[in-house]
Amino acid sequence: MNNTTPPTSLQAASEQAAAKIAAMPVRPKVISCPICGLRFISYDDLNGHYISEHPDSIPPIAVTLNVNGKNCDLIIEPQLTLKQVLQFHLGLTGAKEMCDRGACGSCTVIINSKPALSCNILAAECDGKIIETVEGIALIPKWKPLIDAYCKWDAMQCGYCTPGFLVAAKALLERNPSPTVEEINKALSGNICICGTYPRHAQAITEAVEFMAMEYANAVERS
Amino acid sequence: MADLAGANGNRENFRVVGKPNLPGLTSYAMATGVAKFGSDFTVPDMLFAKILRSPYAHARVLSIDSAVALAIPGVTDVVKWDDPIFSEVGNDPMAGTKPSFLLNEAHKEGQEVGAIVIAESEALCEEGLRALKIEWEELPFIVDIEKGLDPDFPAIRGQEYDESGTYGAPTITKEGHPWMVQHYPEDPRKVGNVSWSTKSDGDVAKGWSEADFVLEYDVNVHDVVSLLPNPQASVAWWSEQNMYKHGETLRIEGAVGRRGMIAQMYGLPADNVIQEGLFQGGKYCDWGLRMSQEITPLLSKKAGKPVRCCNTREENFDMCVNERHAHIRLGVKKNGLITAVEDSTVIDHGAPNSSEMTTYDRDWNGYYSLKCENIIQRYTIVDSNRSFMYTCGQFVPYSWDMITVGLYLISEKLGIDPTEIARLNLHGPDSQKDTRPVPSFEACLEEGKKLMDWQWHKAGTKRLPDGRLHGAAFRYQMCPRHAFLQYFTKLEYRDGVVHLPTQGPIAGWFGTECFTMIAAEELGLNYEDICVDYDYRAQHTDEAGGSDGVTGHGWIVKECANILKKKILDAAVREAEIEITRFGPVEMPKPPSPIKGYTADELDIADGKVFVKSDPSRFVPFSSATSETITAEYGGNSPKAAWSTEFGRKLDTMNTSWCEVAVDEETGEVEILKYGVVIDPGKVIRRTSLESQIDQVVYFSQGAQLLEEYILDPETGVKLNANMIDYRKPTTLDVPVVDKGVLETRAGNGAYGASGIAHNLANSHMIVTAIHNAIGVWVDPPATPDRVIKALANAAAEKGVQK
Amino acid sequence: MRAFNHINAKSLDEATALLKKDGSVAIAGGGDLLGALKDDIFPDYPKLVVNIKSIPELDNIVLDGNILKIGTLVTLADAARNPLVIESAKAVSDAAGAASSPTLRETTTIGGNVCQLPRCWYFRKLGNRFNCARKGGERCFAISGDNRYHSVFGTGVFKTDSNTNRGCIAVNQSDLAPILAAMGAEFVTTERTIKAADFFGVGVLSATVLNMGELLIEIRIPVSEVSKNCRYKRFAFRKSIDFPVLSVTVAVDADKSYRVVIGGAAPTPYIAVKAEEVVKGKNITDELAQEAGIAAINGAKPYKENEYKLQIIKTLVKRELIALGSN
Repeated sequence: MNNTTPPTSLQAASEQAAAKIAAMPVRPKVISCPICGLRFISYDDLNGHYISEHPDSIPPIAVTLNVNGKNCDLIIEPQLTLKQVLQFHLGLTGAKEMCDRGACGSCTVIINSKPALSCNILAAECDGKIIETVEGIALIPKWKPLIDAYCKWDAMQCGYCTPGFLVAAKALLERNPSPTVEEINKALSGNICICGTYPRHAQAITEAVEFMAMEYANAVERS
Repeated sequence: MADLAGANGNRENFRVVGKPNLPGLTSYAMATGVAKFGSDFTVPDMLFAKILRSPYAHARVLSIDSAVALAIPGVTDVVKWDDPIFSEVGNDPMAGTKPSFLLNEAHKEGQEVGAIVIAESEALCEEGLRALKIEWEELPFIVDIEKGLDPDFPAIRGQEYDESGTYGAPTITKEGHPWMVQHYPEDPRKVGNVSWSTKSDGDVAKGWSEADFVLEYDVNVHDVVSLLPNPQASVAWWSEQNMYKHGETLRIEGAVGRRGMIAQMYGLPADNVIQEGLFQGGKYCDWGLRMSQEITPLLSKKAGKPVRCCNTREENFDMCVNERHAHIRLGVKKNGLITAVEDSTVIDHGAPNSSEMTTYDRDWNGYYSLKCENIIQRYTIVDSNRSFMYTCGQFVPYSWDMITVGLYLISEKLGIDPTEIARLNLHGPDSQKDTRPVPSFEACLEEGKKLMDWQWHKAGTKRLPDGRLHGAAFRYQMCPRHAFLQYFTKLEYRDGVVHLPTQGPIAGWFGTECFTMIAAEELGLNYEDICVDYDYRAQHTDEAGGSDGVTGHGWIVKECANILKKKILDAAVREAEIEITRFGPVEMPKPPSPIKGYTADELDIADGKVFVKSDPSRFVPFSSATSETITAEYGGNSPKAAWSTEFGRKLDTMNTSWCEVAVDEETGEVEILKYGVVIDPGKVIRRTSLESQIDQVVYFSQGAQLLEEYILDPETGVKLNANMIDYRKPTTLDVPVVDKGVLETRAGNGAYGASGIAHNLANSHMIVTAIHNAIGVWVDPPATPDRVIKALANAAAEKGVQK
Repeated sequence: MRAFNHINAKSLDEATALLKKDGSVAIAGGGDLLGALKDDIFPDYPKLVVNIKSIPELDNIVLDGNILKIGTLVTLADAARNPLVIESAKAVSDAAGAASSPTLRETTTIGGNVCQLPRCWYFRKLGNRFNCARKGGERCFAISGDNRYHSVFGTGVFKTDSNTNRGCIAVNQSDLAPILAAMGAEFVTTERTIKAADFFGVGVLSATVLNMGELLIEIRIPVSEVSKNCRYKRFAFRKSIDFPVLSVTVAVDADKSYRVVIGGAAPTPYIAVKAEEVVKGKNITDELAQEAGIAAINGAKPYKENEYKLQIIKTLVKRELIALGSN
């Protein structure tokens, strides 16, 4: 098989997602001044260097993000959005940029248990927060039925907006484990799909809910 | 039923084809976020590029001083339009030619022009662009088509653009064009910003003489944007590694499915261009690459590092379905039969390097579904600075509703159900002279009426209990589709497994899944048994012709599978003869094969076994039927359909679509109460694909008719709503469920008589027609509340004047 | 976005001190500011973004006697689902739950919603392409341009500038502003308490009368017949994501004194005084409601592209008054 073949099962896809999460750097490889290239052993030293050597420039800031269960210390420019940091600092591209203005939902992630648009939040303001992305959700066995149902019902066509929908769906089910079709459509009404898959999502989520309830009932019976 | 002489064309029992809920091959990758689109690629040590965009609707860059920009730490280069490196890149073969890759003249706001900044981050690129000292010359522009018609308005584009051989360029003549004759009797090809094109068929004069009355109407189609979900982006880098061939190797990601085009532009053998990314995003009927996807190889070569270039959302608002204003006259007999068609259309030609296909090509047009052969079309084509229009097939359905509206108006005038008027006017399967009924038209009609509980009423006569007015509309379409293209398929049996190599791209119509199902069906295997190998070097692609191309291609896959099957059975016979197994130097006798002594004709494949037809207990597992590697290749066209006429008038899929609306006269709000679509796809291959394609096109058409509009400032010609807040795509709460009826007549020329679906459902006027049926007034799309209110007020004012 | 410094303010004192300096700007939910920064619409790009979400105690909802206090950092989603809000001022919950989209409502705030800058597409055009009156420029481009979503009740008078020729016809599209005006809410800031009628204004890069460095802390809604008998109707082209093109808020107190406030129709929430007068002291009948609808657009001055708004206002005022009367 050529290495361009994408994963065709949840197992294979979640292995790739796990590899991406494993590859996220937990601390900067080097701490260097972006202006003069000098290297430092700590962020504080770099900051001190800015104050003394580049007083008119904007120093980067240090934040710690807990992304998919992993604490990542980052030194970032203050104007970066969480979406940008996820892609360019942590290598996660599950949150997608479509509108870049909070009007399409493609970049949806979960921050401290609430759905949020990563294009519309500064990473600087996520210090210490718990962030879940679609890659992390893909690894959790509980959500396997949801992903299976998405794939079984073609709740996607070109696939670009799909992770945003899936994260919003997961956030909905955390709040409301058995939503009606109306509640599903309302919860997903901030997510734009150009390919017109809208009715598929309610179909997939409804089926996943039934499956999860059945699994739960079986588990209770077994115990 | 079709019997098109291929292998198993008449297959009745299906194990795999039509089976619901088989996950897409790449769906797990897409759902879990590991699928990589162009903008998702990042490479260590890469640089970023941003292209200067014109802030003016039409302007020339006279000079650029880049000294300040270059002094910014992190800005590594500024490449200007007159840099000799641009001679190293050829033209995008899909978009026509232009004098140079990067020009110093912009023909619309936001067009790439003048300079490219390369820097260590996107933000630094932007800072560099702002620091350029640019001397602009603002030039006259046209964003209002009326203005462009003025013969005194200066020409907005030079001669070089008219002679550039843009894709599909027509011959323009002034023949019979009254405006042209009046103003320019000397017959120039083009005057100012206007060109003309006339096409006449049949005997129009005779058609008028046969008519009992003349019906005149206007159909206005507005600009909608081909809104691509993903930012158009690429990253490219070079290596001397000679991975596959000798010479330098270019790796480019993001120009998905256009590796060949990139190779051509950079004068490289295709094998020296590597492109592993598969995911194209929803790029329906939008075949062009953007400059951001084409330029990175050049910049990377200059910089000696990987370079990434990514469009912003605003920059992605760059391609439209173009505005057109049709004034139509129909000659009609008392019974509703059309005898003559005269269409005078003024059409926006867009900025240079737009597709001519979207402007002039008129054969794929509702008129050609009529028995009436007397048709004259006069097109007045106006250059503009509104937008690009690449080779966009979304145009096709956009001219269809010229006739949907006509049939509806005849029905209104005569007080006859429009489905009857359509039935009377629709020609037979072979040609406009064919008076036989078109297969499945009646069935689609009847099924649709049932689905909708169709009760036709005249305009403005039905009020709902809540006080709103009720309207309904119907349209049919016989789809002209892509099955005329040539396709190629390869299948390989290797180590007991059947492989289907494909180059992708993954574009959103699950074509490879359909092919996998067909191959599995023919080979007696399951869907999961076929191993699809995605490899950019593979010849097979399911891209050509989109989802309806898949239909024609399905035939090729079926034939190929049968070739492979025959070869596997031949090999199985050979294998059965082998009596000795070798383990290195050791030879051991092999137990006799249960199928030994039978010929290939006496064998078949099913349930993962190669078995003897007369005695199924004699079998070998399919996976060990032979130790040979067996390859089958097949290419060409699908056969001529059971009912189709020539290219461009192919009548080989049928559907009827229906909608009911409620209109609030006081607020102008339109609510879609119900949608119905009845389609005859010939044979359903993959049901969710079919249903999703219906939803997509119905919702796309709803957005275009009720919400979407590309708005330019009349004073400056700049885009006002090029963002997803102000340019409104429907949300989950705006679209009702589409009730669907599916008929399988097996009358198509794809595998098993499939004929496909695709853009034949897209429409520009079905909802607008239903609105007319509700309120008795035409509202030009998009029928937003403001336009509904305005149209009602104008109608009331006119009525007042008449009184 | 361009580069800027970012500070997580720990207290109101720290935040206001920072915000009093030139080139600094406050961020809460970011729903408005980040779009403006990405669109690069400011004539002078901010050098410092002061995060006020890091200030404690600004995200509470409490009922203090008969005053409903909503902290400026309360998210729209929290306001929409809060039982106190639903009980005592349901229209606030309705409007908060209808603004933008469900996901964005989880992070954007009440304070941000009422202070948001106009959505005018000339004002918002990328790269400060139109340096319009609302940015301190010479003229309003919408007056002669495409004004389909603009004011039908004239230009906004700049609070700092008596030269009304520079008027701006961008409308206030906040979902909450008209309701708060109808309910007679008070806005507590770091400097003072401002009555709803005085809070909204037209300023250079501002939609309120807040001074430089002055921060909204809390919105106080008097819980009364008015706050309970209040209806909010938003009119948008889509059922989600859209800003309201128009909105109508109607309310009535025990003495049959009515409030009729129109959003999206003028540079600030428009109090339809004439409509209020028509129904004052009376029970609503269909005829009276119709008359009030017509009175609501009395004195309107539509521009070339937005006359349709009058028809919608007229209708919605009529319908909402009838619905209010039948409660």
